[in-house]
Amino acid sequence: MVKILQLFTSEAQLVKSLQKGDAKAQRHLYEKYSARLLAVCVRYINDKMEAEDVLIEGFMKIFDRIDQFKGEGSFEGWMRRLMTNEALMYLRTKRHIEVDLDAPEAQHLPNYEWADATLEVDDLMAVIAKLPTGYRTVFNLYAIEGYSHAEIAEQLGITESTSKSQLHRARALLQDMVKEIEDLNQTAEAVKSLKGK
Amino acid sequence: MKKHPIDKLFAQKLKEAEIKPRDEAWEKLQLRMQQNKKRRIGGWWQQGPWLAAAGVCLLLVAGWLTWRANSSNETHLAQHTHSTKAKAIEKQVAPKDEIKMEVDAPFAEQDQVAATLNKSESIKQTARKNTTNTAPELKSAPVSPQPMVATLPDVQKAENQAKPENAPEPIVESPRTIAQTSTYPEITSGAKTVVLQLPELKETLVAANTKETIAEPRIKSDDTKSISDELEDDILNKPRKSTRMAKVWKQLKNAKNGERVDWDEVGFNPNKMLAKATGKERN
Repeated sequence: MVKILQLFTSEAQLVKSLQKGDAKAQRHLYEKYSARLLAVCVRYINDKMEAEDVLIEGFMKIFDRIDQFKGEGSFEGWMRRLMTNEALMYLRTKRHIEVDLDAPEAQHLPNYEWADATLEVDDLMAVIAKLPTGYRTVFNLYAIEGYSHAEIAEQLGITESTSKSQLHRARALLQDMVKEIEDLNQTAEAVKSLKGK
Repeated sequence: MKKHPIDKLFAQKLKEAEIKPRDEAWEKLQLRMQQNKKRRIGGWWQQGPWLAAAGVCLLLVAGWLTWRANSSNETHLAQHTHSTKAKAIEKQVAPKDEIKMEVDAPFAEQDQVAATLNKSESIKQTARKNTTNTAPELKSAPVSPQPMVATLPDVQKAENQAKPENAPEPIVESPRTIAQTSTYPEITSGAKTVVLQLPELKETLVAANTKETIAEPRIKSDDTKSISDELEDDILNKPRKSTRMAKVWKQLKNAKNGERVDWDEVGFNPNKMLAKATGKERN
């Protein structure tokens, strides 16, 4: 409880000094959150260099609009939303979010049996990167950022049903890919154990 | 609604995912922030609307100035000479007050007449530097072409009277004359005629001559006040600019109301210009 309280006060102080335009606070914020926020950007934009540019723009927005943060909800959530919007804007201007409705739907039935313990963050990031941009964007927004289909539809300028179908296809593709990785991991482990013997 | 296992898996693992940006990213961010600050302060080239407003103001002022210059050249140069003279007189009146103040001082210190006398004498000597002190007539101070000579007799008179009588009054007079000679040393009474002979002179030239025009009224310092009053009245009664403006305005109103427009009042006639243009075409 004490720890939470301390954390809160320190974050409130951080926000306060950020609102004053304190350079030290800005540096501190960057050190603390840049890696996490860059991961957000990379999830939407596969290229790390491009994602870094978006990160920089996002931080500019954070510093610029810090006065708009009224302390409602978590500060990190607020920053993530800004960063997500920045990434979406980048996608809109630099690339087209192709919403490929014709893409074949994964035929596999959902298999809930697979274990996820062996999957690493890097693996999952790689898997998401393989998705088409439209799928990836919808999946990111819905599954990870927690947007509703209505919000996604508004953000991307698509219908809700499109958003839903994109999500379903994304899930199916992801599941396939995850399975593949798991299989690979299992064979690798089997090879290892065989070698050990 | 229960969360889909795929969503759950990715959300769990990726929410806390971290990818460290390169060190250059921070430097880049700082650079961008500096640029942003500069942009916010903004150079003059970024103040679009303000620049435009300033340009319009400048144009208006320039137009008004040229228009005024033209109209005044056309109409009354005499008015200019009058006004400049009046200005000069106003200028001249101010120093007179100063002189009066100087004059008050010796009155107050009647006991130290000798001291002040010495002072005034020394001042007088500096003023007299360039002039020859040749046999001044004591009583008459005529309007001679060279005022220095004209005023000098006064000084002499003051000196002469002060020495034997030790009275304060002459001392009063002497500083005044000295002040006059020292403030306007190279004034000639003939200068005024020069200005009047050259009525075509531009405003600047007239302005340059104003100093000389004061010569006469200053020497006859008693008359200056009445003259200046007269001239001030003259200026007040002659707002040429506004009357012309009013004329044009009136004609504009006429045009708007569908009445006849008197082009002579406006100062130019577009019909005439049209006639000229068509005539040329036929040739």
